[in-house]
Amino acid sequence: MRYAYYPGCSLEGSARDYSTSVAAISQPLGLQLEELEDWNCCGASSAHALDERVGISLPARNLALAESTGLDLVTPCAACYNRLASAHHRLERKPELRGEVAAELGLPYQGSVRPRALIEVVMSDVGSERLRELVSRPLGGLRPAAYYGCLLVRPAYLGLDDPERPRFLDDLLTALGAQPVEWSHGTECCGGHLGVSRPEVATRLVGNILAAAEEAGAEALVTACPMCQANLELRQAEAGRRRGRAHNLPVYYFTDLIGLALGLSPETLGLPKHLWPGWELLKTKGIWAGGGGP
Amino acid sequence: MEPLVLSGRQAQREAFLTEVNRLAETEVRLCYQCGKCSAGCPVSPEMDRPPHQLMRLLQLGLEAEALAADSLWLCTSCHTCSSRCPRNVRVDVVLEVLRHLAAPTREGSSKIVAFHRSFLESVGRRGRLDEVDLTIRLKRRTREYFKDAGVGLELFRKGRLSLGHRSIRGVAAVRYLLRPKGGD
Repeated sequence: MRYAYYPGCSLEGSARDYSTSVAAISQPLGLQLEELEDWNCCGASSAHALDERVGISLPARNLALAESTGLDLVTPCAACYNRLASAHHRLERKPELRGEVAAELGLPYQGSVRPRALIEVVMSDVGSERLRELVSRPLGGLRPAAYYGCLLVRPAYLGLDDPERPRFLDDLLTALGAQPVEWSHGTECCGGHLGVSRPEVATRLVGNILAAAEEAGAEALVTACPMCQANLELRQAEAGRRRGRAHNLPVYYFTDLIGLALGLSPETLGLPKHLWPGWELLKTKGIWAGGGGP
Repeated sequence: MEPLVLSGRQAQREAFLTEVNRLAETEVRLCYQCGKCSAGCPVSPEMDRPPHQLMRLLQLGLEAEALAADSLWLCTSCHTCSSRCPRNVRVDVVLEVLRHLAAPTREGSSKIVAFHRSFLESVGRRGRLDEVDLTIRLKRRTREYFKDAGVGLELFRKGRLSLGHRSIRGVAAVRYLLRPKGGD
């Protein structure tokens, strides 16, 4: 199954481990991800925060570039998905804007490319049945907390599932043999860009999320957004200091757990680059045999 | 808040609400101040004007107060507010519209605006974000040179800092999209 692939800027930098993880699982899942030629930044939070037109035209350039491929445009980043889908949706609803945007881009814009989130591609095009077949090392006994964050489920007209009680990540984890916990903070905001612009606010939000995961008996968090993963990792130490007790919760990408369940090594998945790779946890659960590691 | 004479400048105040309604494609007058938006907003504890208060300011047509609110910038665009509004008011889009109206005059008056401007400047350099370049620009603007140095070091140790990528071929096209739009 072929897709045009939009990694997003963070996968070239702070989320390089996610990039490694995605690359490692794409072949076993039968996903041929062809990086979009000359893609540009989707604008993330900043473009649409300051200017309506820039917030649409930056992601629209990628949609326009992808048209010649005839493929869906798939991204592993929840924020990039939201921006690509927002631009696609707006230009679909406002055909009078299309001509203006095309003129700004210097590219034709038909609106023919469907932006998709990687996790949705895995659940829809690969499916949980096929995932179960492919699993060679079930994650039995692992109790992760499925952390959806905001932008995969809201706003509802762009979201992949119910905004209050989504299930797709829990279903994926169950298909891998894990036992995702029921918990309160699955769709609570991690702070997004505040992790850089006002980190003390993000620390408070991250602290709440981690504490809620612990209260539900979770041993790790699983996410599909590099911004969330960064906030949950980078603010975790400070959140622990504020409450007087460290959290020590690994924050995995969903692709990490798919890879582990498919029998891939943590190194192949980029796990050593996590701040909390969770080696002890993986060893205890029989998911990693030890040696090699950190 | 200073006492206001609400009987004055009625037409002007209504015109502002009408304009916000038009830009946001919603009807702010539907808001009956139930507070669910503010209750769900992750950052309402830090906000000077949580979302339901912004809706009330708009209903009263208090343009200056609404546009001066710091809460516009604390908003993370999590969309919880609009997903819970029982009257389907697009609270998230209203805040976005207010940001667009307020942005031109918020020159460096907020760390968050400084962040957004630094981000887009960095994108304009090579067509994609360079996180190290963003950090340098942000620190220059905020003059908080040592903040988060520990975090930066951790990322560096783990090989998670982007360093020195080339520009995309279409960087000129991206710069055109990011051009300042003064007299548009």
